Amino acid sequence: MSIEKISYNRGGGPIVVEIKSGYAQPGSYGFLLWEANANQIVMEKKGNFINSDDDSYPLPAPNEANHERIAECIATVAILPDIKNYRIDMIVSQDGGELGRVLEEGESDGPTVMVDIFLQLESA
Amino acid sequence: MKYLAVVFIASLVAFSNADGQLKIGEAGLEKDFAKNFQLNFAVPESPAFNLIEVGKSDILRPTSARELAVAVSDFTGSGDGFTIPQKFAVEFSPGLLIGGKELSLDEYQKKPWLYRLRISGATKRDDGGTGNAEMALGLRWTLVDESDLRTNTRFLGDITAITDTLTAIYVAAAKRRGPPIAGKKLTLTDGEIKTVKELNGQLKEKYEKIADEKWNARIFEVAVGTRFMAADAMGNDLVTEDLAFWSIYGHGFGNWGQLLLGPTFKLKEELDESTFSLPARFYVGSNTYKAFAEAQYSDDDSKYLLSSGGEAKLYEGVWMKFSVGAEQAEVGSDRQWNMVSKFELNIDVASLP
Repeated sequence: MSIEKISYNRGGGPIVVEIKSGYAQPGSYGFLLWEANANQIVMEKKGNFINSDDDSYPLPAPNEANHERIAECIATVAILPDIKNYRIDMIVSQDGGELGRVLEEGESDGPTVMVDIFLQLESA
Repeated sequence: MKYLAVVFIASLVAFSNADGQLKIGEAGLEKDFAKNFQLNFAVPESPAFNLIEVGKSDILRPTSARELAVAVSDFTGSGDGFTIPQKFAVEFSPGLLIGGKELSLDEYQKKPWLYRLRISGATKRDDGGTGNAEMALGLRWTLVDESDLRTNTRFLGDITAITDTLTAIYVAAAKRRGPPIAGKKLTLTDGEIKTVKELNGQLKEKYEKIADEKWNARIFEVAVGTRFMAADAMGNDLVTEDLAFWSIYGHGFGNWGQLLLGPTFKLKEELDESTFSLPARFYVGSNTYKAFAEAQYSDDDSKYLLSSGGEAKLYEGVWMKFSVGAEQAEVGSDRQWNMVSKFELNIDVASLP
């Protein structure tokens, strides 16, 4: 399966990646930004879904350095007993507008589900 | 529809011959057979379904909001064979149904009242499809729900501590794997697999523990509903028959008991008459097994209802309920007590393993 590619404007503002958990399900995540064509992590963040205000991360400048880098989100969603659905979105934005997203959604009998989603950035 | 997390609860109520209605009056014991099979919708019961249901109790069992719930009732026809359900109701939370996919936990916590608001609709047709159709609409609002896990800060903190540890394990596996390209998957070591299983086991225990602790948590709901009667079976010329207002307050005692009080005000007979009823039900037991006693007074001909029963979880998603009681009714100028018993098997399809 080919990797989802999302284009950004190298001359625009900072590229921002946001991680979201839907269905009001709690959980935690790790965010990894892999260097292009290399086994090297450029940025690593971790967080949880209790407070969504701190789940957005501007990528390192300059923008052109992010060409062909891979953004990966590894999340553990706690499936609370009354709703079996889950959904994790990784959203890429620039200058206040969404450039694209990858997501995984489904149902689980729980108690947790592991989600691993990723995308590749392309400079336009 | 799977993503809507439909909760479909079906229960089968079997009346044995001996459990039919017994009228105790001056004429002595008379036996009257109630319907042999009645599919009762136990949890949750929407205001609209309550209005079309020929039930004895006015109490609306309070419950946490679901995205969508469906109830059907009365599967028997005039020949006591199975037929298309005569009563159908649906209740949904617009907030959860429309915005649930991208609803974050803190968005829910900022406005839980919005996501606990539920709308219901119900229809009823007479056996044979020749009688007047009935329809009902309802609105229910859970103002207080201390069993709501999404507003339980301490519980969420405990859960998140476990998911933090699980995520750290998966991230370590991702670093060993390298960049996620060419179909490379995460592989855990034997030790990590064992730890993941143990942590998931701890989470499952926490869910079971909170269910035992919070089954009788404080809850307060208000609801309003209206019932329409049509001039024919096709639903033409609707006339407003009833308008009802419910409130239901549930108060817990330790982790063993719950008292439900549900004053109800109704305008009946094309909104020409008003009635007030005060039902009270007391549960004793645990989340899995509980008994209850219920009493209700209605100023509609000064009727009384007394009943008691119990419910038990037989299997994941399968509940058994039973009750026996007596309702006072007018027969001519006399007042008679009718005894009624009921056995229900409730199946929550969404919870089935």
